[in-house]
Amino acid sequence: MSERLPRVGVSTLLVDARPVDHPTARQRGIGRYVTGLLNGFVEIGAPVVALHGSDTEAEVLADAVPGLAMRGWSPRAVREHATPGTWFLATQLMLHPVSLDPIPRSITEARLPVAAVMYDVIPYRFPERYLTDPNARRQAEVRAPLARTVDSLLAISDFAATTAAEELGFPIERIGMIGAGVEASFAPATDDPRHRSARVLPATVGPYVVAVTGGDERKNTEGLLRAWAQVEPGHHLVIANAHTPVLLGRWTACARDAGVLDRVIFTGALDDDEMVAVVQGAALAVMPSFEEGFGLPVLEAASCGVPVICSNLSSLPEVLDEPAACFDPHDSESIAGSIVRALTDEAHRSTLLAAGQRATQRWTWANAAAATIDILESQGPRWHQRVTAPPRRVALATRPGDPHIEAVVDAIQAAGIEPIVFVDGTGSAEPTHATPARWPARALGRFVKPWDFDHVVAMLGAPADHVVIAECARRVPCHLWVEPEALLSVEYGANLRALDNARSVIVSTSEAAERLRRAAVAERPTLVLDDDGSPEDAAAALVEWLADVDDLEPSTIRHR
Amino acid sequence: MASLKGLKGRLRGDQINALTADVAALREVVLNINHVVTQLSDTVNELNHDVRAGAESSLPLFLGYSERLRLDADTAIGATQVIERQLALLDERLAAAAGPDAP
Repeated sequence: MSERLPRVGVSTLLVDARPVDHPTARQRGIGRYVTGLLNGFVEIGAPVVALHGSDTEAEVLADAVPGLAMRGWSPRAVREHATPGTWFLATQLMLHPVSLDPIPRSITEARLPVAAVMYDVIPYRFPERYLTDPNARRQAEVRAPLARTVDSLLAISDFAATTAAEELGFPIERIGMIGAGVEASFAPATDDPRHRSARVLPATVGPYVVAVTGGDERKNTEGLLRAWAQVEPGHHLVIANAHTPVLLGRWTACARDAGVLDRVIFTGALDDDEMVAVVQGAALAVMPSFEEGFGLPVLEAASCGVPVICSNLSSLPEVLDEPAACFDPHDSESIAGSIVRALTDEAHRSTLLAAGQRATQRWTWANAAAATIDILESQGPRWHQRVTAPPRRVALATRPGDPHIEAVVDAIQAAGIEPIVFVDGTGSAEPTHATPARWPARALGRFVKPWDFDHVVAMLGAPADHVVIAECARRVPCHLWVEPEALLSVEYGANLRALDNARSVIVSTSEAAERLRRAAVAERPTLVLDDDGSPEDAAAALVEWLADVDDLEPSTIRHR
Repeated sequence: MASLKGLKGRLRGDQINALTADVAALREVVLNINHVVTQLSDTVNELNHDVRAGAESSLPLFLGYSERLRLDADTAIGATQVIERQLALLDERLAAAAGPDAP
């Protein structure tokens, strides 16, 4: 149900930047898509704040998107922008698994309108191929209703838009098309690209046709190899992408059967510069896929000034928008005929180059960013929601019998903050008494996300009692409360990494503070509690510390 | 119940249909979670049995079970996110239907 809501301009767009350092996402290109789109937002001066989940992601962003406003994911970051006109842009809604938390809790609690980038729904369209595993099927079943809760979908092509509407049951009028762009490195060569592609292409190779495909059946690499048999010798076919030994065996057998093995080169994995060089040096680029969400290699080749031909299915005809450049990917003769014509007919090559130039001008990250803002402003939120500040939460990771925990929980509650306790039972036979407000420590960072909390406090006691907490503190930036019995393990032991990852340090004495400062790579704000104080005093000092710590200099040492 | 009947009188037909659809969607998600949790429970029981048997040949099974557990838990976490969002939207619609003086 859509309601008539007043139109409100986009005052802030919070963008989920976590895919930029996700190993799988980077492989699939979603990480690169997010980086490109963020560059587009910066280019058009859009009011964007990128939310990152780790220091590494922040470093990647600072390097790849100069001038970008960034914040670490936390309820506080959302709270500061929880006003009408703020939108959240979910960039990993379709990324597997759904527990990657595509719409973090604080966004829902703040009642912010959500738009999600829709890359493709290929697994839903071909479940017999992609959803044969029961777990994958169940995850897909969960993801579809989640997608239906967002206000807008931003599809990367018209094809992705229409198929998403069909497969997810999402109202088509709430889906806009924003497109995609290419990295600036894909540009016409200014030198001889063969120097840069020497590792993956033999020096003896003559003129060649490049295809950036993949092992997936829908990429139709084997169809292209069979069609290559109908192309007169004179060119090599370069299949430019990573492959496993099994895949290489399959492709080699296919090329041998077709009688073209001596005219085909499988590059294997290429780095970014090599990929650009291989595309720049090609006489022609071919994209024979049966289905794509967009078809970035088409645009990348066009951006390099290389003529491109592609399949006439799914999103590919949209990208190039030139019927003469398209062929039937199911028909070898059609593929081969298109290749031969594109290599030999100069007038046709000019048509292809002109189509590529138009595509390069149309599909840019700045245009995608501008389209995003236009769509959000013209569609507005789908439902009336009362934007509100998400509640403050603190995670306390402790062990059974910690002398401070009860007082700390009371003090945090008294300050109007919700405490969630995580108990590490590794060093104790005592039950951890798990309840909705008292979790096993292993859940932190795994099933309960650290960005759901304003602060995570890791309370380290005797090393045998805090195995799981320390492991968590090495991954998640925490406030490290180091009891005297934990001091040595942090100063010299495995927990030194937790210290270097810490947001701040809490210790009992000045001497302990000094020792940890010497051990750490960098200074951290430090709170020194009084050994003789009561647990209640320590708890009160901690609450004050958490209220101030984000604004303190790393060199700060505060004595209670 | 009386307040619900009062609310029903103030809702438009399309709003009631949307609410009904949302409640049905929620019920389906909860049923799915129950299903996953039941499977988790069964898997843990099987795992316990194998651990007690203690045979070395069971180790690959343990690993398989733990992977199943992890994936099922992932799905359950995703499902709860769906429920949280659907409940938030339901909450907002009910508040809107109840009028501007609603808390």
